[in-house]
Amino acid sequence: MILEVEGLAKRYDSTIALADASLTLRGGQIHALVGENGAGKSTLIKVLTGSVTPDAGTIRINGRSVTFHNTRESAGSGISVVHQERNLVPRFSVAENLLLGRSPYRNGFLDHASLTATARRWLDRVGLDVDPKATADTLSVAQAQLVEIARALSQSCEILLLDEPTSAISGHETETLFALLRDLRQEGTGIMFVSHKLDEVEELCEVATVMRDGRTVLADKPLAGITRHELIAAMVGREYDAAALPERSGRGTSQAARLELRSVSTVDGHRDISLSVRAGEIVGLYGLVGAGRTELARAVLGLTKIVSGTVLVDGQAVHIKNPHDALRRFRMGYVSEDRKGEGLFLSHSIERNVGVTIWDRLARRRGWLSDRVVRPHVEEPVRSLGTKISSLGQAVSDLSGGNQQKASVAKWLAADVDILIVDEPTIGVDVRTKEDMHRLLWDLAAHGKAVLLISSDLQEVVRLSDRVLVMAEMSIRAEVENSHDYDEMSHVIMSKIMSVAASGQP
Amino acid sequence: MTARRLANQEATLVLVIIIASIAFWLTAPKYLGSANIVAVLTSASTTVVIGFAQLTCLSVGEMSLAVGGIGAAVTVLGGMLLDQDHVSLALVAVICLIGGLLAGLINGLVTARTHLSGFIVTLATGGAYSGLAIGITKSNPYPTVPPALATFGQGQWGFIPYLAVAPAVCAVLLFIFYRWRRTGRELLAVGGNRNAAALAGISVPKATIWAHTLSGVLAAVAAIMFMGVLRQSVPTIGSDWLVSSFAVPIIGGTLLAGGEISIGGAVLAAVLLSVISDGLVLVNVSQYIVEMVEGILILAAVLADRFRLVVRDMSRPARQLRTIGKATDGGATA
Amino acid sequence: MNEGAQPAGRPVSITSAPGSGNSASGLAASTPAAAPPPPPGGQSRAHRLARLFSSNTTGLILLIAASSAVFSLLGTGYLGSFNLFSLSQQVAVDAVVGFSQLVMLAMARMNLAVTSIGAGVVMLSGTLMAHDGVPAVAALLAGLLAGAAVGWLMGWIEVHSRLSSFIVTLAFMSIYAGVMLAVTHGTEITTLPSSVGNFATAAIVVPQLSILLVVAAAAGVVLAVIYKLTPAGWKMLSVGENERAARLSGIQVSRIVIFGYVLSGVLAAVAGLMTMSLDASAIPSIGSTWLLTSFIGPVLGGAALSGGQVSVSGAFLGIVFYDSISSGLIVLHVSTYYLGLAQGVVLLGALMLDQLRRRVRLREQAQRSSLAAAEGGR
Repeated sequence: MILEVEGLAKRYDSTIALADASLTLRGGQIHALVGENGAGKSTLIKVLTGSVTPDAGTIRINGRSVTFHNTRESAGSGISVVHQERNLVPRFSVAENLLLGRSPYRNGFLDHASLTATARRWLDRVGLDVDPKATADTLSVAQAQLVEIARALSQSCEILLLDEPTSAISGHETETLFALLRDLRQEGTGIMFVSHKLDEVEELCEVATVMRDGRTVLADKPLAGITRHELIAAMVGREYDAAALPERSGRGTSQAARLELRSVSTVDGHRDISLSVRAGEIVGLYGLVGAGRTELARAVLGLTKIVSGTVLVDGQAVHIKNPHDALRRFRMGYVSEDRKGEGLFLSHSIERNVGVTIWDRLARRRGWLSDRVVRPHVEEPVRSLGTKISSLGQAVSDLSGGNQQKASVAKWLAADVDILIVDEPTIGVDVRTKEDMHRLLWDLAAHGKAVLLISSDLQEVVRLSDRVLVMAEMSIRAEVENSHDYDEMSHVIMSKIMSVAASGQP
Repeated sequence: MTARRLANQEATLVLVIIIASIAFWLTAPKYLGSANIVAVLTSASTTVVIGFAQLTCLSVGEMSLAVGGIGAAVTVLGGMLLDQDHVSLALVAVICLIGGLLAGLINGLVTARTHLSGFIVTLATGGAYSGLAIGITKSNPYPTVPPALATFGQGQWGFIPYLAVAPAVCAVLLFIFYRWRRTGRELLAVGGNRNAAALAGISVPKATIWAHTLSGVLAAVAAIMFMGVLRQSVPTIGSDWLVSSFAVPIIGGTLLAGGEISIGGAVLAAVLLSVISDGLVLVNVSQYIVEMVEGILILAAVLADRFRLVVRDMSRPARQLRTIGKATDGGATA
Repeated sequence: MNEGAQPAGRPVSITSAPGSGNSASGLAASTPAAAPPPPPGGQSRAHRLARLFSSNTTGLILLIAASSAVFSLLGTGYLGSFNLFSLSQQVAVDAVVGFSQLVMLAMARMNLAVTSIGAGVVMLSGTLMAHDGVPAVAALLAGLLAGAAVGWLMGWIEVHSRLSSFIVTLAFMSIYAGVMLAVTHGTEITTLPSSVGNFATAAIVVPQLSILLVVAAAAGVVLAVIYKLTPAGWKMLSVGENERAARLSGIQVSRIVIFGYVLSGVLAAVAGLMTMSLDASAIPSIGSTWLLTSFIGPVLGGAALSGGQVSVSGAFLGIVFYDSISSGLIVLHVSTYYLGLAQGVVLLGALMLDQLRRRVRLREQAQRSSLAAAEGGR
């Protein structure tokens, strides 16, 4: 079986998700699809499974052109997918989840015996030893994922798409998964392995396709003939390191830490986290998805409980109760990675979005609020970010993704915070916004702000940070002084992360 | 986990029913007299069917504020037909059920097609249905029902009122439907995880329409039962069904968020509500306090459930699949 | 196969020559050509016109004018003082009931207990006046305080239990009603001080306008000020639009939510007391029809059920429209018994219209932002 994709394009309201995606996937092959966040990998998968209709391009199976209008049609053609997020019905049995929508009925009644038997066969196939009658909410993430792989296999699939299958499972579980995938390859299944973990890609796959900004930049390249460096270069592109950032004085080595964590443990499972960010410094917190970086930020903001250890602001041990407390008492702000879900009031105007952090202050001074009172205070932050808008009264939902991201950052500029935690600031934005964002963070540090930059974009971390903290499995594995030499840094950092995976710690 | 949660809920309900019964019996011995037991079971019978009408909507994560409205409209439809001598009771019953079905179907179609929330749609249609009932009758009841219907509403075998047949049949049918029938399973799948169901090719609109339609039929059943109990067709019937319709499934362990139902729990909850309201009247506590008890029981049930979830989450490893437990996502969660 | 042909009607049509395999470069280049920005003057005028008609306020005023014209032509007495006076009384009460719900809708919540708060407050206040000899003003104040207290209790429970507002207010709807009935035994109080009943019969400025309108207007002005000029109001809307973003932006969500509940409780109490004055007695069944009424005004006025957007004046006009229909039906000798039906149908119709309008707006928005994206891409 051969799956060929050519020239797929898809755009949503404000963003181009796919511009020109092409690749060829053969049976008996594990094909890596790599690219940074927002490169269009997930959209490509959605197109292949029929949940998104492309604006242009063709899909061919064994040379025949096909169109999918829904997931059923795609599955009928032998394509199955295991999504990044789990799709199980929590209160259904494992067996029924495995055969969801295809359960056996006899005389119109659900045939529990046959259901369980069929499910057990497929569970054995993926080597998962759980009771088919147990409900899905008793499964671990890794088990749930295997159930979904079993579901895919049970649909007599010849092409299996796996979207970031290792993002939420441990090293040991990853090994089990890989063994299974190799078996499947032996039997002739074509597997597309979507990941941004290059170690795993090199370990498992023989062919790679690289995507960037919705385009295929490297198609069906045998991994034997390409170095990791070339792979990364294809992923991040060239225009990225075009402009050098100005020299930043006062890297803050002499000053005391603005924000410091001493052996902090949280209910989410962080263990013994220690870090510090000084005024005028950018500290990169690098790690893969699922390493626990966002959760750490939330714990600092008081959204989840810290069970032991101390948080210090300006050398004083403090207890931050909630984000309001963080903002008012400690002048600390947090830019969420999920700008639509947590960063913006989409149908509200730009000035309402940016001004939200200073309403209290202005109202106290004036006695009342109005857009006219707030406007002068939000104009400057919006302009300094180079946000393209027609007026401050424009609804944020009308802006492009990059400008939305700028709006979600601007509120912290308006509040003039001293400590800024930025979570994946350039996820899914265009190159120019990325550059603007980088310059902004650089400037903030130059003006004495303490910036903690959470990112899984290695290039970004190396470009901006003074120091890099490497996080994996809910703890900080290393602290590296940044040499700003990408090749050297990427090797050092990756080896730190790899040593974690290799040791197979839980 | 699921089975245990529901078993817990049901065991708790049985326990509370027993304790309450003993307490009432000690205070007022005639509580366990056959007349009183029949009264309790009669009121439980109608309450549970009203609860079932909401339960079908909750199973897909919808809700219906039109249960009472459909009940009123069907009552008036039945009353009109029974006024004409030549229509047989069986035919009237069938027409009433079809009327309820159509009313529910309209709710389902509007909700599924407009992507408005079921809440607001059924608020509007429910108002319209009950308004229609009031408008046609000018609020006057149809004073008579055929003797057969009256017997159904008030007769009994020993302790068991004839009326209990209706909830029993409904409970069995619903149990079979949700346990074994394809559509029933699909409804629960949609309620449990809309996205997963849709990805598996299950039609969410179809499930929504089914849930509202079933709800309409069950509301019609409740309406017919009340015609028998009251021996007349009262157009204002249904005006006080709203709280009970939610109280019965929720106290019984059905999740407001959808995907998990308990038929047995609903039956027990209806019995409990009837036991308490009847008992309070017997021991001369104001009958009006009953309404308050209903509200308190709803709160107690959901708070207890919330507490159990919290305890469970604390006792299981952080890396487990917490995210798929939809019920933990309360409105105010960060 | 050419997938590009499928999404017909999209603002930017994208076609790819089959087999070219490079539709993307075509996409970027063809965008401006495919959708050239219309000349500024023409577009903005058409745009302004479209916005005028799609706005709730204008639409409602037109609807009110049209329905009044129809009713005064078809029936007699629609514009008579008597009818207008009782219409203004009804509008005043229903508007405040709607305001009580509007506060909750702003925060993406709802309050099913408006009904029993109204009744509870009326019976409390009535009992104090008639049986305990408390001065009328003090008794009214006690009623307002009680409304605030019960609102606070529900808000506190919602915030601390993280249950949905639906379930909390549903439970309290029956708890409050139960307490009220248990205390009063469901008997109405007719021996209120005459000043209470006289108040509602007073007119202001012209004999067609009830003084109750002043109360409603005052409540409306207070709300409008809150939503236009105070941080609390702005924060309520932010919480309604995106609660998680609100919390992360440093808004104390719990506090704001509780404040909203209190405000909603007070407004329900005001509506109850207005009804008490209208009836010149305290009747325990006050508010039994408020649930539907409370949603009609805000929803007709353009409040989003998903929160974050409300219009106080819209809600007021919405209730004027609705009540003028009811009153018109009475003038046309349609039985008052059909009012419930009319109420439901009007709400359903408004919802569907609103849905339609939203879809149009979304399409417009998609058009604008795809233009923006195209500019940004170059």
